[in-house]
Amino acid sequence: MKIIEGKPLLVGDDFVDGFRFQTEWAWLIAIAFFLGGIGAGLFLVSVFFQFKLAALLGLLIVAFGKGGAHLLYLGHPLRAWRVILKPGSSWISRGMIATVVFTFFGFLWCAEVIPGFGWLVLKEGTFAGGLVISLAVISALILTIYDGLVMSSSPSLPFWNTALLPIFGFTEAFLGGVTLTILLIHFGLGGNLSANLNILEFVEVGLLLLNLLVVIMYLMAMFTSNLTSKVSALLLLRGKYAFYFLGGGIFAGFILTLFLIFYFYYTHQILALVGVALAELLGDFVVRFTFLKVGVYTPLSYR
Amino acid sequence: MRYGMAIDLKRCIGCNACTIACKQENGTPEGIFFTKTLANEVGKYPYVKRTYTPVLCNHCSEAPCMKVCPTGATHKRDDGIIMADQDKCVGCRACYVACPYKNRCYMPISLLKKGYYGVLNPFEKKKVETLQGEVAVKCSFCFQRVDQGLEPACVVTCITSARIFGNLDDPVSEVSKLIRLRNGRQPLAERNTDPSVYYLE
Repeated sequence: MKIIEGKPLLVGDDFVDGFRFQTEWAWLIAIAFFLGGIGAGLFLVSVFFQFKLAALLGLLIVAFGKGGAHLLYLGHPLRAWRVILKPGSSWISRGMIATVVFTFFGFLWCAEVIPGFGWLVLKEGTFAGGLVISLAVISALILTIYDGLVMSSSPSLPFWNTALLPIFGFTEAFLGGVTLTILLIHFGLGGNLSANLNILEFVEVGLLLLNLLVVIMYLMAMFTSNLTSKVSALLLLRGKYAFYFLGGGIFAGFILTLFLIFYFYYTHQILALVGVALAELLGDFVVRFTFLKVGVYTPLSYR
Repeated sequence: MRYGMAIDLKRCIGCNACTIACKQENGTPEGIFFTKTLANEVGKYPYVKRTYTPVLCNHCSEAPCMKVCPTGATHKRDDGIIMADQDKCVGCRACYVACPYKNRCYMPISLLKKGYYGVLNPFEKKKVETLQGEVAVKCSFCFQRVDQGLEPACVVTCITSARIFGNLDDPVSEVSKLIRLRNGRQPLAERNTDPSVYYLE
């Protein structure tokens, strides 16, 4: 069973059977998932408020941030075009297609705010306008759950193999999108959208609590699932990654963020709002990163 | 036709001759193992024993690495051997993450340049010509030998004949008979990958 004196036997990639870590998906993949999530989330929130400047920012985060991180990670970036060849079975293929569709149609939708593209205005209510925004929104929705689907689609790492992961990605993406939208409006980039700030701040608190609930449910599910999932969950709470997960993911991402939201609500100091965004985004990234790092394989001797 | 292997765990003594033979056949650099033997300590002092579990690509019928591969680089031959096409691989490492047995490897290009002793020796130079860097690599059941009617290098090298290779679809092949007679088990069968490698205990 690979439990020695009450502790799971964690081994490196050597010649011993035990719980072995996945070591390949780490920093760059976490950055790509994080940027893909907040970029798509920001775009979706911006579409709701017709805030095209923020939508453009979301688009750039996805196209250059997520796309760039993925390209940097690939062993052969010049062959990246091949990634679209297997959408029938591979979520990476589907994600690549969604990214391309999102970048193209998202660009068309918010092109009018880009200097030199003012002529490219899509009239609302027309078939073309509806098609463009529909495709952009659908592909953005796919991007919000993409990382969860990529990670949960294979049975190899039990900690990832759960339907809660796409839900977590979805709520994190919207939370990041709402946080950045609030920040942009407070910096005067939202025009007449400041009237919606109270709603957005209310939504942010709601999403933050929902997100915390999803993380708690996730950990509870992992503790009660199987031994390998439990080992991963223990690594997050008591093991090698506890400092990062509890300090960055839970304290900064939820507790400090919530505290700063209320502090901002009563003081209206813009610095507190910047703090909210930084703490929330740091927490989002750390949770994604630690979830990647605690992926362990089931020992072969486990039965 | 479905090639497969039975590994008799009672016979394996953990000598890693298979590991060496595989490296010799495939010319894999330091740190890359298509097959190896995992040691496992069972029991508590003074009643302790060490067992060994040889591992290699299981050439699963429902290979998760093949499903997640976005380029089709990981594909299955008609005889069930799962292959990795180095020319199509983009190095996303999805196959590495998807393999429940952790039997896929990623080959950084730096490994192909330095060799085991800092400089490539003539043998390594020859072998490196067939390998690409920054791609995912794997055991191919020594298809170059199998296609000539030979057995994989790890099988012929095994000094205790713990590895038995053959056609799983042929009910009278030695491998099929052994699996049937000795209740061969597939590793982590609950993952629904239907491996072509069976362990005999």
